[in-house]
Amino acid sequence: MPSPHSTDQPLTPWRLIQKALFQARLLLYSMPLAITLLAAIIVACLLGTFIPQEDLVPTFQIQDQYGRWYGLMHSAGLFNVFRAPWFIALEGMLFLSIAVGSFRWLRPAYRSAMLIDTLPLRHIQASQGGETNAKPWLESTVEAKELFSTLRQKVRGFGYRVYPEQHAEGETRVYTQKSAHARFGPMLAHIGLLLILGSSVYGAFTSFMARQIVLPGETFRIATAEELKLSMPPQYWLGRIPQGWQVQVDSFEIDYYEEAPTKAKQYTTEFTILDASGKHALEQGYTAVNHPFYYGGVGFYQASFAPTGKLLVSLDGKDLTLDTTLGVAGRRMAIIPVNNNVNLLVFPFTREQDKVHVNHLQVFEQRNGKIVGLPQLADSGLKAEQAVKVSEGKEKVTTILEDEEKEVAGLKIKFNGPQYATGLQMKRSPEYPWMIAGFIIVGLGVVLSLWPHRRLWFVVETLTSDGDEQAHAPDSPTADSPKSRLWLYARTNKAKGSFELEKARLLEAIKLDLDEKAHAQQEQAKKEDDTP
Amino acid sequence: MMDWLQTLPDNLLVGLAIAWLVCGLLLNGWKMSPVRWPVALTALTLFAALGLRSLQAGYWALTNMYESVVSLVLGLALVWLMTMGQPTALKPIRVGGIALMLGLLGFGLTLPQSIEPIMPALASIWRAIHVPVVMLSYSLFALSFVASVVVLAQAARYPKEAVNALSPPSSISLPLDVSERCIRLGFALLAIGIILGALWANESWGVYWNWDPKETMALATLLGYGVFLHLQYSDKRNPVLLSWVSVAAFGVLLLTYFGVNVLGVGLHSYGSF
Repeated sequence: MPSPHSTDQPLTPWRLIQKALFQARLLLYSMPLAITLLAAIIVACLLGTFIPQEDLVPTFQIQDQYGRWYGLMHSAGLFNVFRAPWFIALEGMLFLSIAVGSFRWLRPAYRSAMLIDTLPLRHIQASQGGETNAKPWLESTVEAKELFSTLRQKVRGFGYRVYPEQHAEGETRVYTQKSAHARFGPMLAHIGLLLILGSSVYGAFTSFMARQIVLPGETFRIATAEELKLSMPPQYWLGRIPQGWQVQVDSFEIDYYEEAPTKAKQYTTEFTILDASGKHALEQGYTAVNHPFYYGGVGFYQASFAPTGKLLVSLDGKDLTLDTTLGVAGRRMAIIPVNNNVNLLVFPFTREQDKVHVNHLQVFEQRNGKIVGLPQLADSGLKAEQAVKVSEGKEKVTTILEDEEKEVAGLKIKFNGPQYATGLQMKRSPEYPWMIAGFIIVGLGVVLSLWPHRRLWFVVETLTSDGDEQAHAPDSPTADSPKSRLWLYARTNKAKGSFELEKARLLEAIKLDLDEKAHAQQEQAKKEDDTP
Repeated sequence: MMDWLQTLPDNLLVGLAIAWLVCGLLLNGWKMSPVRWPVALTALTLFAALGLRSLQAGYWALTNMYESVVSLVLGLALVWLMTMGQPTALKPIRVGGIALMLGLLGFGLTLPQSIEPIMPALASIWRAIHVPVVMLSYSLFALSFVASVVVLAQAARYPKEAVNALSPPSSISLPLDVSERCIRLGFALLAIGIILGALWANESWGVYWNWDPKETMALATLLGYGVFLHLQYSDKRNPVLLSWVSVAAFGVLLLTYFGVNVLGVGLHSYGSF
């Protein structure tokens, strides 16, 4: 089949498309494009971080800050960078580049790792500028066989795997490599990224998120939650919202640190999963910050809480929830009727005491429509805080701290605290296992990529007094004349500096061993000469 | 307890670490071969400082900027010790690394140091995994920054052809090698750290990724070093270009580490100072 870029065929529309696709493929796996896309996304990240984003900062504040530039920057998507079409296009391009690049690099990386091949001497010499310029790695006075034995031992000592040698054209060729697995690292990392991106697309079509502010004792269904967000417009969404059960919140607790009573230690919501009729409990559980609860493929998260404005009190031992919707002098308050003539007016407050915010109630008596000790409140329109300040000195007001009980107008009042509603977040993410698998593959890939793949091709050459090696051999061989040569061709895919050091150390180790062998040979030769 | 009294023991230990570092700076600046014991003592002292603080706090003390800077220097000391055991232990990198540690610890002492109760979102085993992994990656990137500056300084002394040759001079190739190795390991750790953070975010907030400023800038840092790694694989390796990319990526890291905290918005705003 002819290549799409060959020019010996007429240009038909199909050929044009083929050519365009070919060029697009070339572009997509090119390193400059990958680097450009990475750089562009970095710039986008910087813009999205240091220009206020509408998700994090109220729009009116951004408008104030940027004035007449607001409109232009808004239309360029600079206040919502990560949802702007240009950013999504960048992500899409990166996705394509990773996809095409991963498969483009798969074969050569696999071949580099798996191809076990020796090189002939002429190839090594050619890589050094030809036979006349090329220099051997070392020359030795020991026989080629001994040299090869030392080489194999020392190279192994440096962590290389030595493959069986080949004998051809009077040369002994050997291939060694280490950390071949590292070749699969970048590939695995890219495949993991593809899995993460793919599963996030799958998640976009199938996941949902719901939020509900709910009071203890209340029940809700996810399908009718206050906020139900599908990750796609409903016509494209392929997920499922659970219908066969509902959630009853049993309690919501805020735990505080003993040593810092206003600092929350944990927020916990206990709930019961009820069947569709609401009569049968299917499961009970709790969720807290960092402790999600799962039921029916839905995760329940403790997301927030909100004061309801209601007060939890006990009156003569009987629990009551006081509604504070009534307002006096701009303050919310509740009324507890004691009898026909007497009411208690209850104001919720917090005050700072030793840097600690203390919840408490201020309780006033109202007799025959007049507030005892505070006649001016109804008439003068004083703010409640000021009124309380005035009255406190006259001891006409009763302050009740949280968990404290006091008697007012013959009633024992215990303040159990303000009422809070829990904010639950529910989420279904069918892509979760795929996402985790993607994360693990990326992690494995980046760890594998740590090692450099180092390859050494050696040729051991025997020097004799005739043949091709004659030119290199001395005219009259002596005990000090070289008898063998070692040639090296070396490649690494990274960390070239330490590779050069490693080669130098290897050479030193080989030379040392060969010197010892040569010395031993000389000693042996001397002994033989001395023997009559 | 008064704040200064509460933090006095670990401040004394950090002060001691500074003394070790000054000693290490002088000895390494003077001698040709690495003098490692002052940095080893610095690492031990900082570990003790963080350990003591953790005992006082009742949780692993890695929640505020001060503790984070101390742990960054601890990580940098460990990375320094690992790298300086190699034959590539060049004097400028040794001295530059110690100077950076000193600068960071000095800055750390200017930060608020009171021990506060931990907020619910941070009370998780994930914090003990995610944060140290990210901090160690930052330590590696810090040393790679020092090595890259050394490459740039050395490259200015040679003609362009020699610098870009297949085998550049060892005063360039060796620091470049230190930089590359630190970046490779740092990249792996940062990628794993971000993944762990995403898993934690999913457990804590119910979302893997929220384009929160800290998350976004961590991604930008990772991509910055990703550019370095991609350039490293390209056919024409240019030590000067690689080193400039490493320096720029470290600039992005500084924005992630300090700059985002100044903004004080987003889900990671508890890190602000």
